[in-house]
Amino acid sequence: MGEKTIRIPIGPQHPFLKEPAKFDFDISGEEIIGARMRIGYNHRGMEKACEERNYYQCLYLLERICGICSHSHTTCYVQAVEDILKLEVPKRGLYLRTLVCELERLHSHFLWLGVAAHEVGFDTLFMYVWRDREVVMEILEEISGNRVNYAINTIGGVRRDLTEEQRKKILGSLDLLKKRLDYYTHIGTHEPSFLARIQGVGKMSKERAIQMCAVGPFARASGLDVDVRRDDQYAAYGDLDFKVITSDQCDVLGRVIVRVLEIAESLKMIQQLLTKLPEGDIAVKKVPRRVPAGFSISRYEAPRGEDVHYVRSNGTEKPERVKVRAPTMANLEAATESIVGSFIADIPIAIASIDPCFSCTDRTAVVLNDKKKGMRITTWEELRRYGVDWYRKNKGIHF
Amino acid sequence: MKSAGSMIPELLDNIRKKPVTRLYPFEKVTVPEGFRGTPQLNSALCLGCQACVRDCTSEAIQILLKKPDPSAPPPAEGAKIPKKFYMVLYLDRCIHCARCAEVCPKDAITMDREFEVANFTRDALRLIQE
Amino acid sequence: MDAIKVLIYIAIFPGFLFQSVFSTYLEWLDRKLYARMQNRLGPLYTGWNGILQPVADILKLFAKEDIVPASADKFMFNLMPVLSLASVFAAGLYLPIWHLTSYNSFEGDLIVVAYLLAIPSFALFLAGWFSVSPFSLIGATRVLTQLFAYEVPFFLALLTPAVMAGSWKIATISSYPWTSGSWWVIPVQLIAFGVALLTLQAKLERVPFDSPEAETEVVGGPLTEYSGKKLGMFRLQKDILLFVGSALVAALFLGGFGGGIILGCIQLVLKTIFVVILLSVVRAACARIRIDQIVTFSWKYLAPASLVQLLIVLLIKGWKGVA
Repeated sequence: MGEKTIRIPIGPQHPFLKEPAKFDFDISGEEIIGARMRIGYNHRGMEKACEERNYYQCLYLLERICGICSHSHTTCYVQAVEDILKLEVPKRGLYLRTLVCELERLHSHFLWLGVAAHEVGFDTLFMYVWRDREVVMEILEEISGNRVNYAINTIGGVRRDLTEEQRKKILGSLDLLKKRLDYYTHIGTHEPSFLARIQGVGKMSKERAIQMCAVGPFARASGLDVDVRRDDQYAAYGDLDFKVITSDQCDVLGRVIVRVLEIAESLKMIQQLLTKLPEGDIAVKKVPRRVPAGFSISRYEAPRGEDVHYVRSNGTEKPERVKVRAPTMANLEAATESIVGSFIADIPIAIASIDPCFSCTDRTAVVLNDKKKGMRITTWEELRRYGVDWYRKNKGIHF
Repeated sequence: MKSAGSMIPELLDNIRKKPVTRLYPFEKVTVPEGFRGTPQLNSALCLGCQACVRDCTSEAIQILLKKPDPSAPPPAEGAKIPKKFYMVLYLDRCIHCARCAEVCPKDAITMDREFEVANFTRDALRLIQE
Repeated sequence: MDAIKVLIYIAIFPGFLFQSVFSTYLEWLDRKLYARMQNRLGPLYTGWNGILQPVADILKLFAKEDIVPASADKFMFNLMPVLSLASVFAAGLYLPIWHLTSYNSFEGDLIVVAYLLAIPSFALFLAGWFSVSPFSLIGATRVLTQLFAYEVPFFLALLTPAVMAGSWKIATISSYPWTSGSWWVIPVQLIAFGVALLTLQAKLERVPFDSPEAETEVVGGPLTEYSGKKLGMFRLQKDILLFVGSALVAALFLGGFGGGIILGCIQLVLKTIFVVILLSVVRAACARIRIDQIVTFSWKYLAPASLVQLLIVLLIKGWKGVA
């Protein structure tokens, strides 16, 4: 191979990518010496669509940003709207919201562990993990009425109450999950062929992770101690006792360890939530349909990292602007960079280690300075001069 | 730290166990009590306030006024004719969020537990509920 | 009359028909076991418990459209599936399929079989090389790299029972424990058996050594551009390689006790099934390791282990010669 490099395109369609995205790798032999990524194949225009809908319609639309962290996006959005409306959500409502948050984190991390095992060809672990994930999915279906889009949030609280029967059932299935989790922790850190594939792969130092604005388990695996649940407490997290898991491994093994231990923390939190569950209302009784003018930024620790929603209202039934920054957007650049220096075989697991969700994150790409289509970048000065000229010519106004 | 073949006992154990796969179309599956299926309108309760139409995320609902039955005997002079409404539900658009059921002031809409609603044509997915 | 007999040998038993049918059964067994170990059901609907699923898969491929990439070398692209299929069929004819012998067994057939079994790997490399696509090129280089990693330990492991029996004839080696009455040679050769199993797994490109065709990394490896009949041929070749490889390892390491045509054939079938079960367990218990890790593993552990085994066998032979 020697000096010669070849460029291999990965995507927009490739077996390891569950959603379309394009990566270009310059490789020399089996080693990667350069990586670039491009997104924009799956843009759905949801932010724009929100401006055409009222606050409740937006809620169910935003739930469909992501299939896995659907609850994250709605919670993040309703928190912003509740903030503008100055609503005080009842305690029980917050607890139930947090319960679904943590259940969602459980199933998302289980899902990721399975996908990671599949990317390195460990299909047996993949099947086992997904089998045990069904337990969580069934709990979610039981309490919300659906397996994926729970639709449990509403502005001012939650929509469904938890019966005593369901509470007992969830507490009962936690033991099974705990037992299985111990087994996966053992496999994830002891099985030699699995370890060989994840140790030292996708290195991302702490300093670089800070520079690249990494978030979530990806950042925590690089020793960066960030967690919105603790740093900017929302919902019922203030009442809970939990640890923020970090690891100094800085590689995919670290990300496995962080996620597996986070599952254990989530299980603990669910237990606390269910034993401490207060009595009372689950939602604010009367919520105004018109939201007064204002804006709010809401942060939320989704299973994949920090999710940010910005909502601006103008006193009507419809929001003026909704802006979503999904966690994958923050991590994607860092993940692409972390691949340089590894082997081709490490591409799937290194990219999968951020748990990418491309349709959550997708943006449209506008090509500026395209001479053929007559598009060019205009600076502020040019724009001002153009405006002055236009008014002088057409309206006879001199500035 | 490393132990080769640490999966093997579990593997051999699983050969004896019954597979967890459910043969779904041949073997019916049950959904929990609170499952959000297809919205059903109880037209006796409907006021025609259009609250569900306004809040439906995917614009899947139409609430229309029912034309009075021509064969029915004309109502007595001065008596108020009760207005009747019916719902046209575009099931191909419905996202089963149950917002319509929640927003209805008279609880005229309820969600059933039907989930096998797929069909071959869009026309078959246009349900008229009276 | 002899011509007809040879034709039957080649076309029906133990040739084409028997090998195809039995190898698809082995694939079914492997898939079913793999599924059960993962708590799944595996193939279910084609035939009894899905036993005809591998046949159905191959027939489906034969019925599909056959595409040759514009930039590929047409001749080599078309030749490779046929060459690899023919070589494994030919290797299968030398197996001691009945009465601990075969119809054309001769002194030295072990070497012929070992070489015939190396051809599919080269064919796979050339198939990937001449289909000219980034993924098949990477896959092809990996096939060749892997070949250098496993071929030497594989030959060394096959050498052990040959040295023990003092013969290059598979039938003689296979019947050695029975004819000489020394059944203890089977446990003595356990290290070589293990090495042979792992290297056979590498030859078959199955987890943990499936780096050349790793789906999530290089799509289909050398076979990325293949479709239709040619892909079907490669699939059939893979099945037959599974049969011939495991039957060879079974014959060399697991002994046998004559017993006529039918009993001899049943023995070989049972031994082969046993080897395939072991291979399935290995497949289910590991993750796919990287190509550089395969090379390291093979030269660091497998090659020295087979050398140690060879030394043990030579010492025993020497001690027995003195005694």
